[in-house]
Amino acid sequence: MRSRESGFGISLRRWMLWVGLTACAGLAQAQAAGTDTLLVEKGRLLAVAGDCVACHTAPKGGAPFAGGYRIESPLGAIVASNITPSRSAGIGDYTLDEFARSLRQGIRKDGAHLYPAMPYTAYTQLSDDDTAALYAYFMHGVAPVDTPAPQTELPFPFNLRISMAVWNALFLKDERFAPDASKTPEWNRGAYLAGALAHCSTCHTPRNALMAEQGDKAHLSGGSLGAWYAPNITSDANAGIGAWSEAELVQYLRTGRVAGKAQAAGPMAEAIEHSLQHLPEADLKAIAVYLKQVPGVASAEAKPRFAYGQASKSEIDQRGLKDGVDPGWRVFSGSCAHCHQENGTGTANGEYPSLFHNTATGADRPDNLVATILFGVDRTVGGKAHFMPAFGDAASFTDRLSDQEIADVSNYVLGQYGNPAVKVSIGDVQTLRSGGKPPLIAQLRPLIVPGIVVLVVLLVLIVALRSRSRRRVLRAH
Amino acid sequence: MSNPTTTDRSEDMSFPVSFPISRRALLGTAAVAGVALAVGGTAVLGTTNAFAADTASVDFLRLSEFLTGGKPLAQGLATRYQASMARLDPTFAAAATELQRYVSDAKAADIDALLARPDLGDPLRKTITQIVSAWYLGIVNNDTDVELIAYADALMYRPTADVLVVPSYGGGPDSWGQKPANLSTTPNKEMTR
Repeated sequence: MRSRESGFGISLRRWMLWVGLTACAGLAQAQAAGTDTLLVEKGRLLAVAGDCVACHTAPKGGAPFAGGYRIESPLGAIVASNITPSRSAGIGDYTLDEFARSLRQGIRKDGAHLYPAMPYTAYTQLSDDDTAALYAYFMHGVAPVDTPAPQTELPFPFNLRISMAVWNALFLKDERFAPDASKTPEWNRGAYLAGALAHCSTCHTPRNALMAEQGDKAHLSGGSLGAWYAPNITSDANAGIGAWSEAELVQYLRTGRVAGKAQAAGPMAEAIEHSLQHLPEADLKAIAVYLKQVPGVASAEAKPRFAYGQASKSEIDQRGLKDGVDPGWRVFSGSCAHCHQENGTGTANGEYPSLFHNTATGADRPDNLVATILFGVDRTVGGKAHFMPAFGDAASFTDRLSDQEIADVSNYVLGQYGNPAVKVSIGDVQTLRSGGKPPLIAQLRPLIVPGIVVLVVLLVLIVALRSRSRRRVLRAH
Repeated sequence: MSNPTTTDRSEDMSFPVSFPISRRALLGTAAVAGVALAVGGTAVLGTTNAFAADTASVDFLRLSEFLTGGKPLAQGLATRYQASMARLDPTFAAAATELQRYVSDAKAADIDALLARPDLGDPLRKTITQIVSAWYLGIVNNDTDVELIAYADALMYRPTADVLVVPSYGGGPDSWGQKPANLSTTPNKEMTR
């Protein structure tokens, strides 16, 4: 689908991208002017859809696109670069071709490779028109900042950027998005937005041993992001989002919350806050249409994540008891029930969600529940803050919960309100508190240097032995 | 319970039973429920009397619903209140059975009709107060031997549950809502007069 570049495809793409803009001004005019405000504005909208700001603007008051934000990857912190038009510190002296090469092939102006923390594996699908618009925006719509961002310094062997050339050869599909003529324009728009710009698969597709997104069969079937887990968003009715209506998906992408289903936290809350809530309604609808048609990837789940649980009777059974009290309920009653109410119903006004019929408690893994308890929720949508305090290390001293307490309360919540088959151990909480289980390649890193030494020794031995045996053979003759 | 202070207090406790304004407002179907209970209660009472003086847990639930006028009440709480009161007051089990028999025979339409009966004497009134007080306050007994059974489920929070949250629980940011346009928070002439 992606490789096909038919004449029809090009005209459809043009139509899709320019349908709103050509109403205001002619296509030829916009291109002739080059840097005119229309193109810059188009680039700005694309940059919002691509969520460039999430990484390239440091949180809490960083200058827009000046970089410096440390992206905590399992292999070490990768520092987002300064992409303002500063000639000294940013990308001010990039040509359009150089800009496109870094965006779509992951290669900087100086020829060094970017790490795929920059989702160039998704942006590679961007059309030439959109790349030009983004270039116009970053050259003329962003204020230059002359402060360079710190360098990324990953530990050996990941500091060898040239290794990414091999990685790219293996995993980068350097192809532009090609519309599928058998689908509606809306689906194609959704596929383009989800695949090229919003880079959903960067988080929602599982990764292989070399940290590359797995193939088509696992596309959008869920991936781990340190402590958080980006769930299966394929069309499967139980494992994915097949049981969501299009309107619910649009509402979720717009607000991060659908009562009785889910709320966004962690990286998804960031994506909604910075990017998705600002997209036009038609674009969100297109993404929903596309997601509802992504081939379903099933798992062992018997019902959708949002369908588990009911209000508890703990208040009736346990309030006032001196003995035989569930320690998890004790924590719940002291730390959670203020907002989620004594029976886990949440508030009727929807400010505090119910703990049942909630994807955080009904999933087949406890990651997002425990991560929510540890790190809280902080999502500003439409100028309104939605907040749950953290109970992990960032919490105030009096709010902090121990690994034991978090394991207890998680098991209570899962048993009463969520998927009772899921259990949480103290070890699970420890792992998530420290940022989740590192992928195999990161776990193996300490073995790489000794491994190389052992390999070299083995090679020397083999060569020595062979030459000796050959000499023996010669002597025998 | 024999000293005068306790008796006085239990007299006070009968106040919400005698003037159950909020309760009445809450339960439009109290009369219907009362009749149903009187009919049903008679039948159940027969079986209970047949083998024990103790009131069965389900009977105690129905008795409580009639006395408090609060319906529905939770069976789990009824069982716990009954056990707690029996533990802290050795005379309670017999008194409750006695009260249930009286209620069943009286066939009063509701608790107000029952309280209006001239033949309702003190041991029975005291037991009514005991039961109603426990359900409303969420605690059994008043003095040092007190036992907490319910907090948020205490009946005293029910009449205002649609407007106010139970203390210590939150209703969410801005849950006070907007001030009604036609009301003023500053005292006007009519209020100060």
